[in-house]
Amino acid sequence: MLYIPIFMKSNLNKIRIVSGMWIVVGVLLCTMGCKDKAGMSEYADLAHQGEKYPAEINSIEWDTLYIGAGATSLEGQWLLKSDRLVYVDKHMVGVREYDLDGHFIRKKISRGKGPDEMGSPFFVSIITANDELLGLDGMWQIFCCDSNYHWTLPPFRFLSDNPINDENYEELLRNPHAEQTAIYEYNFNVKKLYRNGYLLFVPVIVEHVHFNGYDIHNKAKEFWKTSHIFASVDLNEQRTQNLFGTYPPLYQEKNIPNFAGYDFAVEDGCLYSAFAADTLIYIRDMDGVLKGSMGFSAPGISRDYPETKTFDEADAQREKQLKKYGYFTTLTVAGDYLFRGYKREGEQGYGLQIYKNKDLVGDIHTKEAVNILGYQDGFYYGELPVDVDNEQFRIIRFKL
Amino acid sequence: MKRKIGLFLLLFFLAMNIWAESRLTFIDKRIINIGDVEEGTLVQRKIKIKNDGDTPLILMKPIKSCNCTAVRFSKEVVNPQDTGVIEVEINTEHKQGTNVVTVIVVTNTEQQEHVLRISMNVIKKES
Repeated sequence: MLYIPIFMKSNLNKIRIVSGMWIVVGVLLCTMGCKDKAGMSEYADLAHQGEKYPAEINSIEWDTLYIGAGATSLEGQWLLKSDRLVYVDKHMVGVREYDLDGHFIRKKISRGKGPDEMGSPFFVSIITANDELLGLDGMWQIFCCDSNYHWTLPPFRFLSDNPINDENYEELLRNPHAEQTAIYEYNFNVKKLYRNGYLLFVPVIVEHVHFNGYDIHNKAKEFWKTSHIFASVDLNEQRTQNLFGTYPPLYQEKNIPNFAGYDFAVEDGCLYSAFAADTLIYIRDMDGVLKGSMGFSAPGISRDYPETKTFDEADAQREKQLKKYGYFTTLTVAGDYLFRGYKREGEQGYGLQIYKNKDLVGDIHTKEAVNILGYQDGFYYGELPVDVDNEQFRIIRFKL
Repeated sequence: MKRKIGLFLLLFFLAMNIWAESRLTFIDKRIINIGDVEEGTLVQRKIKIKNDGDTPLILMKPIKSCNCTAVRFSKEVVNPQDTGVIEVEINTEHKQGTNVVTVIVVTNTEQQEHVLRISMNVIKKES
């Protein structure tokens, strides 16, 4: 019922005016109360899940497998198949397979243009649930192959469906924004992909000259608020389907591009993402929608990161800052656990948080960085940094 | 009889040649840590190699991880039991901190690719 003062009852025009005013006020209140979708952060009102328990697991004893690296470039990626370890070299074309005791089995994929050959090595690759190898080479081509390394899909170039060309170049250069697929590139700091059926989740980043996280006098704030961190690629149609996910709010509070690295892991229909400077681990569904958070702080990480204002400043300070400060590094699901690796401040070493069902159940201090590879036959596998002087890889194996 | 022995010897040597191959061995270290260098320094290294195999070793166009690197071979074909030199030159202009340069030498050996790895810590030039 609209309130109409008694003294106006007799005046129809005035009633109409007053009614009209109420309608306008009502409409204004509604529009002011509703934020437009673009302005609403996906991180608003997130429920935190999980508990922090006294550490059930505070140390692990592992066996170390020493694997000769003489025939490799010493830089590459270790992956775990159902019955073997796979080494994918970053500089040399080919994969090398070893049994779970570290004995060499075979080398597959050669350099070339023939069937099942590649012109450049994999930059990042994963083993899927079916023991398929899926990866991106240095030319951003996506390759999918079966467990015997025969291609199952013709290679195609990532993000090629929306290229930069003469028509859109000026617009993309002058007016970049987060929804323009063409300005994104693969995020080389994240050594991971994920295949969800016919969709491939790829970590992405924008490093546009006018739209990046470095220059606070340019569009850094807008970058941290709106730029996306994942792309989903339709492997059948060979096109980018969607861009999703943004950086957490803390990156808008302080400009810390040197601590903007992230990693992700997928398990049971949940996509977990962890950021270098953030205590929380974020949980999305397979459509990329943020559903909640989990995670707790780690010892040796004060999070008192210094801000940088320009690319030159960030670049000059990067190595020093990464040595001085602690930050989170890796995120891996293996067996029943979610492992989050981190570096402690200064020379304090590294750590590994262990979560089960979103509860923190363990925190391990290690001298060297441990990268968890996976779980097979009752053992967890991980890798230590390469022993360059002795040209050896070090794969560790342990039980929990 | 002599003919049979001759034929046998011919077949034997032919069979041996099927398994003949070239083999690249690094005489100098292939993994090199130069340590600290001032930005702008032209880093040069010569890495000696040897063909320990039975057939000529062919060095094909090198693949470099960085455009800052130039690679030259003293000879593109190294005969069996002969040596060669791979010269690497790295321009450290506009570089800072830890830098690792990788050079892949593609050859006709069974392994096909052999890697040189040169790392350094580039210190910014005092202006």
